[in-house]
Amino acid sequence: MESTPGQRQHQQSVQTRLFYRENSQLYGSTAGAEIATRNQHHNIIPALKSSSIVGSGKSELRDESHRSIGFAVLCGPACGSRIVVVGGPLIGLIAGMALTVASGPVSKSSDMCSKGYYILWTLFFLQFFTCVSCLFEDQIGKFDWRQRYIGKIRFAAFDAVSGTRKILVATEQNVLAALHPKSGNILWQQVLEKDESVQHMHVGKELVSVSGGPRVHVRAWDKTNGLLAWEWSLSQQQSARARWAVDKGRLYHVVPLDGQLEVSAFSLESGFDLGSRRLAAPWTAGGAYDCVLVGATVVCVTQHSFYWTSLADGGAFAEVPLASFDLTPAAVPVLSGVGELAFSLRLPGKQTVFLMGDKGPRAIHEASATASLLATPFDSNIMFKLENKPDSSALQVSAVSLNTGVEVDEYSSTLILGSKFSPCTLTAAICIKDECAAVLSGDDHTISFVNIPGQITWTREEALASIISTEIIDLPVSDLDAAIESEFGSKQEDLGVATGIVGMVMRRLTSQVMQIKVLAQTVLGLVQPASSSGPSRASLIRDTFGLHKMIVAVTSAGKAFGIDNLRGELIWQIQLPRFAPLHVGKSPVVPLYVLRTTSHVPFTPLCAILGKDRLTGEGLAVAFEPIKGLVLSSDALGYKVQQVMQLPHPDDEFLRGLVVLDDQLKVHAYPPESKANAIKQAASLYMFTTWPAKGTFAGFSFAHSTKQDLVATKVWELQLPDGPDREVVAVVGKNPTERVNSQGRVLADRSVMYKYINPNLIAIISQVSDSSHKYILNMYLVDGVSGAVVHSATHKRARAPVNVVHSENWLVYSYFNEKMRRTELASFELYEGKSRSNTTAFSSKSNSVRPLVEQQAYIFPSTVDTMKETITEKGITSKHLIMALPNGNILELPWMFVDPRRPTVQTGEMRDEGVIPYTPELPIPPDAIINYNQTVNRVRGIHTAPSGLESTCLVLVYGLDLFYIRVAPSKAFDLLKDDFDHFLIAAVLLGLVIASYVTKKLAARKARNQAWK
Amino acid sequence: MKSLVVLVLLSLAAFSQAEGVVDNEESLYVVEGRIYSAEGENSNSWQRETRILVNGGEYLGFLKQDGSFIVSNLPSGSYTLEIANPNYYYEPLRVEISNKGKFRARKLNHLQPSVVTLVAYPLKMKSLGKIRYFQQREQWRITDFLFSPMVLMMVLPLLLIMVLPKMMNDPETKKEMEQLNNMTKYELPDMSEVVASLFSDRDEPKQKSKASKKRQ
Repeated sequence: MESTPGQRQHQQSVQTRLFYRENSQLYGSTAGAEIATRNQHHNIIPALKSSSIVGSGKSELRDESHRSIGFAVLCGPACGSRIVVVGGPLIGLIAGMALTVASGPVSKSSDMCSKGYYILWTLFFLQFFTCVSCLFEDQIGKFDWRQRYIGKIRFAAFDAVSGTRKILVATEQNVLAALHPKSGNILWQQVLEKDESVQHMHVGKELVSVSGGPRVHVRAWDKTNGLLAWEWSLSQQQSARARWAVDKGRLYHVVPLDGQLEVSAFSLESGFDLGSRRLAAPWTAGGAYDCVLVGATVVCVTQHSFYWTSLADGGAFAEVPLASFDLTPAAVPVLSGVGELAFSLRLPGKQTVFLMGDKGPRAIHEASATASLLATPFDSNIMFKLENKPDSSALQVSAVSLNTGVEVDEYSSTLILGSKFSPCTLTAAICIKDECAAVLSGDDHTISFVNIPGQITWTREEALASIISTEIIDLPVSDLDAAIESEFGSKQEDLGVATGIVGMVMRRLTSQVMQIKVLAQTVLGLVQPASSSGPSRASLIRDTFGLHKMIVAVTSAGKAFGIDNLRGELIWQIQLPRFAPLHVGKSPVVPLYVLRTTSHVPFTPLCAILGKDRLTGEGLAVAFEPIKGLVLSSDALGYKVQQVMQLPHPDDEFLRGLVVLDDQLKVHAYPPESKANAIKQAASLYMFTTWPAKGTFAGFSFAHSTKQDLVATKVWELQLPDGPDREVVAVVGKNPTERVNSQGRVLADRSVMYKYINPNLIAIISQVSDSSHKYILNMYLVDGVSGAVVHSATHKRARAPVNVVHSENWLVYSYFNEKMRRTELASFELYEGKSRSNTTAFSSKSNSVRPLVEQQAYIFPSTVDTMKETITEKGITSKHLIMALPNGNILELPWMFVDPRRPTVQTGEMRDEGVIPYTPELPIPPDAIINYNQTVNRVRGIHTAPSGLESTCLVLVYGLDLFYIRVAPSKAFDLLKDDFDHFLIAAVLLGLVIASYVTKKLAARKARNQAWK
Repeated sequence: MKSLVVLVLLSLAAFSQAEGVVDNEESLYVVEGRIYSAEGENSNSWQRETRILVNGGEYLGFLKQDGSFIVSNLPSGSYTLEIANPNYYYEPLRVEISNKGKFRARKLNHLQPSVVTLVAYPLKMKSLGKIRYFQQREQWRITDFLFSPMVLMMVLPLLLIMVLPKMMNDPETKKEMEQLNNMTKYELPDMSEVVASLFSDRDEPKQKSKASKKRQ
């Protein structure tokens, strides 16, 4: 639409290569505010159709998509027709055919018979289903691991009263937990409501939590076993300045209103409303004040005075001018509670600790403004002070007596953290006799336990509860293999040795000498491979089947981790102190790319993440080495990131750089060195981006780039119609690393339906509300290069949550059907038809074929938190959907079950094709639940990655907890079974050998006897 | 279903003295029920591991020591209620709260939402059994070994080789064989009969009569 005829011509005259990388996560969901009535919705389609003209060029246009080359080489269309079903269930097909043959006459006979047959058929497939994704009991923990996390501490307290000591914590993820003080293990945890937060925690006889808002849950939990003791709820006004306090069996809620403070009291256990009072507080009027609850006393401060009153008897506020403490602040000071009796007043440069007595606050100590203070409960009268010393990467802990305000020397200690340093705050402290301990909460979400005086005894990396993006990376080859690689693979000028035959021979000889040396060392047991960083690092080399990999996880806490995928141990962590995730709507996103893989020795592997600076909000790119976890560079980009994609082809140094579009629609390359490479590929480069709040989608071409600069030209634009509550709920492209092995689907008559495999296809789902407040979901399949709307669908009375899986030639998404009040899965499949438009490569521009679309919907008996498809190296193995359910189960559902070709009336033809008959409701068989009884809480994402084995796919589920497993969608056909009977095979072979010898002997004897006769 | 006890607990008027604290047009209700532990479950943590998910986790309920639970703050409407326990299966239900605060619980039927099978309210739920996440592994048995095709393939020919010549030594059988050989000269007998006759000497008369029948 946007392009001029001149541009169009230009596009057609250039032989293009096309590629686009759509960052689905970047624009996953957002809040919008408009409606599309259906008429408008129809208006949009013709407009979009016209935009497709831009893309449809002449037949000489030959675009090559990355992927289509991949599979075209693997399998041309001719063999595709034979192999198609291999991708599907081979066993199912064979058995299905057997069944068909066996039942030939039956299907001709009465209806009853065919019905029974139908059931048999379904049962057969159900059984097949269970077999595929099942685990045996002895495989627990063999291929999987789970790690439980709780999130960053919001409140913490020691429980010293009940039998076993423990640390009770409430976290920002709305989780309550008890931690073991010796090990930091979770003794119990309760995961409260999602998207709510704990507002107050009180540890008395029970653990009382106040969570949520505006509807607040007040719950009490048994401290020893975490069981609910009682609960009640109330509705309250939401205010950032509302405060809660528990005192003498009462729960107080203090809400500032204009010029007043409202204090409501409730009986703690029953929730009985004991009435509320309004205290005149004219000084709150301007909002320039701060309040804190110290025990049952509310203390407020303005620029001039302290005000305080008791919550229990509720007299008027008493006032003390700040000047009487020699304080003359320039702005309103900040108050923070320091235990049950004291509070601190923070001014720029310093803070003063006050002890709250009957006669008002009494200044007892002065500390630096950044120090974290906490008084221990009970009678120990000690206040701990924690000071962060970033210069020396250390924490200084000291103690102050509350009685005298003097430092107690015996409790002061310095904790040196080194590279793991991150500013910490004190969240809980306790002194029993002379032994003290404290719990620290780091800015990087760590929870640390400190013995005072002493050192940190354990640390929990709670940043892993807030993973945003992950990648699973191959490990590097061993040093020996690396030497061989470098012998052949590297550029000669790098090595600085002679070229030509002599040089080659020399290199060959030296490397062979090295190999012999290593062999000798191994044999003699001298081996300690040349790795200096300990045994765990030494084992980080690629295994034969490519099952051992490195998980790179980037969290919203400004920290990235490297995790060994076999056991789940943390290998490295890097601090990214200024790094904050980008946001799309409310959801945080961090684009994570592998710029150079580990297979290009001697070049170091390279990953890059994009985010924004915590302070300036401008783009920030961090490049790091993913195996050892070394930050190589951290660059302020100087612009805000709008969209980013990776170049399809690497440069001479095997680096695939990034192309970044900023919010001014200027184009940048990252790392800057890859600009030349980007310009080289610019003619075939396309980019797709969205403005979800505006409902706008646009495609850009880089064909107009000059030799010096990358230029993005808008090729098409798509505007969703305006309307109230319009919301783009999902924008999902295909996985760029995906390969499709089979080009078509063999029908019963042995003809082939060719798949419409468009790697540039994007699924856009938007939600609008009708005039009668009914929701409507619209789905568009848009070609990201040409902007053509390939298909669209509308669901009336359907709404989010929407989860989309887009792969190969199919699309599956879940939505909530409001009319029937159930979750449904809609499934689409696209076919080109019985002939191919282009047999070698797909082109978005030359392809004007309107795909045939098969579609069907299924009832899913649970809601879906998130879902993802499995992916394998060559794409031969059939696809399964990995779905996270709200009850903590991870379900592996074969795609075959949501195949839109499942027929309602079973005909012989369909049976030949191996399609299961339609059943409206999908099953959730318990043995398809891959995490068995290990509940995974609040799943936010699932990452799948291929392994070196075609049959096996690695799955990482992240959310509050982390769960890793490997799955084999078509069974592990390329690996011996776990229970393979080596003994039987050996016994049989041995038996045969013995038998042949014995019979030989016997035969010889018989021959001899006969000769004597 | 007269046991539909109305449990309107939270009249919000009490909490909403202040202007605009809550829009008290909508009353909130509390769903109550009790869950009974499955038989054989004697760990102390089943209450903690069990959670009540209303509308797929939109609202949560937690169990007390005795297995009772409440889910609070529900506006009137229709809700699915699911019990999430990692080890035991419970049937999901649909709970409906009318505008007047009447409760109705029924079995969850996604396929035919209009079919109503009522369940007593307040809810009392029992486990339908342990969830079987795992497949049973086949046990190794000697019979399996003996009847595996490979072993059969090995043993049967051995038997034929070893046993058949022995039987040939028996003069009666030899005679029989000769007779049979004569037979084959003009009529090919049924192989199964031949083998049967070989293995069952005692049934000789019968065989003979059969053979004679054949000859006729």
